[in-house]
Amino acid sequence: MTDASVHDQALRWFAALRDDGAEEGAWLAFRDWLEADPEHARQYDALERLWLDLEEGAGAPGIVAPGPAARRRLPVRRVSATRRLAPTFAIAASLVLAAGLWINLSARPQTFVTTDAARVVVLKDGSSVHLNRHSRMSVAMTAGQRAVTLDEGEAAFDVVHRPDRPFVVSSGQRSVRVLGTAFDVLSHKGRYRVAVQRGSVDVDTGPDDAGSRLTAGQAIERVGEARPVHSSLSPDEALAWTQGTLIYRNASLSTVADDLSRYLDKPVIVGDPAKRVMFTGVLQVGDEATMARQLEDLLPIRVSRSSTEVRLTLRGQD
Amino acid sequence: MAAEPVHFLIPVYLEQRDALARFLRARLGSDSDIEDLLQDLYLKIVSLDPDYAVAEPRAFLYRLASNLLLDRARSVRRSQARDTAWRQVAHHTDGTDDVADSPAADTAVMDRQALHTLLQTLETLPERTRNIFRMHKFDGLSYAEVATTVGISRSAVEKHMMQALRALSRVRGS
Repeated sequence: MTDASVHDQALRWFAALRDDGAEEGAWLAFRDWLEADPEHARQYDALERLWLDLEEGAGAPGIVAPGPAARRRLPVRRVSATRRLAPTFAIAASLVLAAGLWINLSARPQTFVTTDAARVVVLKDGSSVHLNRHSRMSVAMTAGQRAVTLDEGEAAFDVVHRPDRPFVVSSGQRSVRVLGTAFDVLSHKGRYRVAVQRGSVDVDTGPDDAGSRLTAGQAIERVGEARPVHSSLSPDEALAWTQGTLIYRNASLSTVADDLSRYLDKPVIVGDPAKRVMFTGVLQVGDEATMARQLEDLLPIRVSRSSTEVRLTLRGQD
Repeated sequence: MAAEPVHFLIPVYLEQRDALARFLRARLGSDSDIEDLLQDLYLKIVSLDPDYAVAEPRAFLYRLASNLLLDRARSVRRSQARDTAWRQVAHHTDGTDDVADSPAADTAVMDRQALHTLLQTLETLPERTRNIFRMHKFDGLSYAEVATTVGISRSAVEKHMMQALRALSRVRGS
C-alpha cells in the first residue's frame, strides 16, 4: 500500500469499468486520471493482476470479451438499412430512366441512417460510401444509372468508373454527377458543399446555377440561395473526417459550429461577438465534452452545454 | 440487395484510432506495442458478427481495447507458467542460461498458498457481496444481469464489487 487514496481511486475505476454500460465519458475520465500520475497506472495494474490471480488453478472461466459469443443482451440500436420506402419513391427513381427499356424491378431504393456513429456502405457496383454521423442516404441502382440521395448529413464517395452508368448524388434540388471519382458531399440546414479528392465531377447547386465542373482539390460551397463560393483545398482535407479529424483553414466560427451541430445532433448557437472569431486548426472528433474542451483550448471562447443546445460565446462576454 | 454494409464499427474505429492510441499509451505508460495493439483491435472488430449490434460504439471500443490488454496479460502469464513447469520437470537448473531469462516468472505465477489465501478471503465477505462478486467474476454475468438477478441497481453492484476487490487487495498487500 502506498497512497491509500490513489489505491482507492484505482479500486473505484476498476469496479466502474467492469460494467458493460460504462460510457465513453467514463473511459475518457479514466484516461485523464491515468495520465495525471504514473503511480495511478501502477495501482490499476496491481488490481488487474489480482483479477487474473483469481483465475489461476480454479479453472475459472476467463472473462469473455464482448463478441457474438458473449451472452449479452445489449440494448440494440441498429443502424438499419431496412426502411422500405413508399412506392412513390420507386416511381421517382424510375423517372430518371427516361430511356430505360429495362426497368429493374428489384432496384428498390434502400435507405441508410446513421446516428452517433459513422458507417461504410459498399454498393453493388463496388463503389463505397463512408456515411458520417447523423446522416441519411438512400440508394437506387438501376441498369442505366446509379442514383444516391443524400437527404441530410455528409458522405464521402469513392465511385467505380462506369461510363455507361452515371453516378448521381442528389440533395434536394442540388446534384453531383460523376462517372468515377472520389469526392465528399455535405448537405445540412441549407449549407451545401462538394469537395473533390480525385477525378472530376459536375455540380449543380440548385436554382440560378448553370452548373460547374470541379477537379481534384477543388470545392464549391453554397449556403441557402446565396452565390456559390469556389475554393481550393488539399485533396485530403475534406475527407479528413473519415479519419476522425476536422481540418479548418481560416474558417468562421459559424462554420465550425455548423459542423459541431451535425456531430452532436443538436443546435450550436454562436453569440454575436464570437461570430468574428476565425479558426485555423484541427479538431479531433469525439463526444461532446471532448470537442468542447478542444474548442476552449484552441480559441478564446466559452462553450456552455445543456441537453438541448450548445452555446459558443466570446470569453469574458457572457 | 443493392448494397452490403461493412462492419459498422470500422469507421468508428478509424475515427477514434488516435483517441484509442492515447488510451493505450496511458494504460501502458509507453509507446511500445501500441501499433500492434491497434492492429489486434482492428482484427477483433473485423471478426465480430456483422449483426452484433452495439448501443454505444465508442464506449464499446474502449471496452474492447481494455479486454485486449487483459487477454495479453493473461497469455503472458500462461507462457510464464509453462516455462516454470518446464524448468521444474526438466530439472534444467544446472546451466546459468536458465537464470533471469524471464525474471518475472516466479512472481507472476501465483503459488498455491497465495491463491488459497485469496479464495479464503472471498469466504469472509458478506454473503451478498460474495455472491455478486462470484456471479460477475466466475459466472461471467454482466453488471446489468447481476443487478436483475439480485434485484438491486447497477451502481449497487459496482459498490459490492469494489468492496470485494478492496478486501482481496488488502490480503495481498498490493
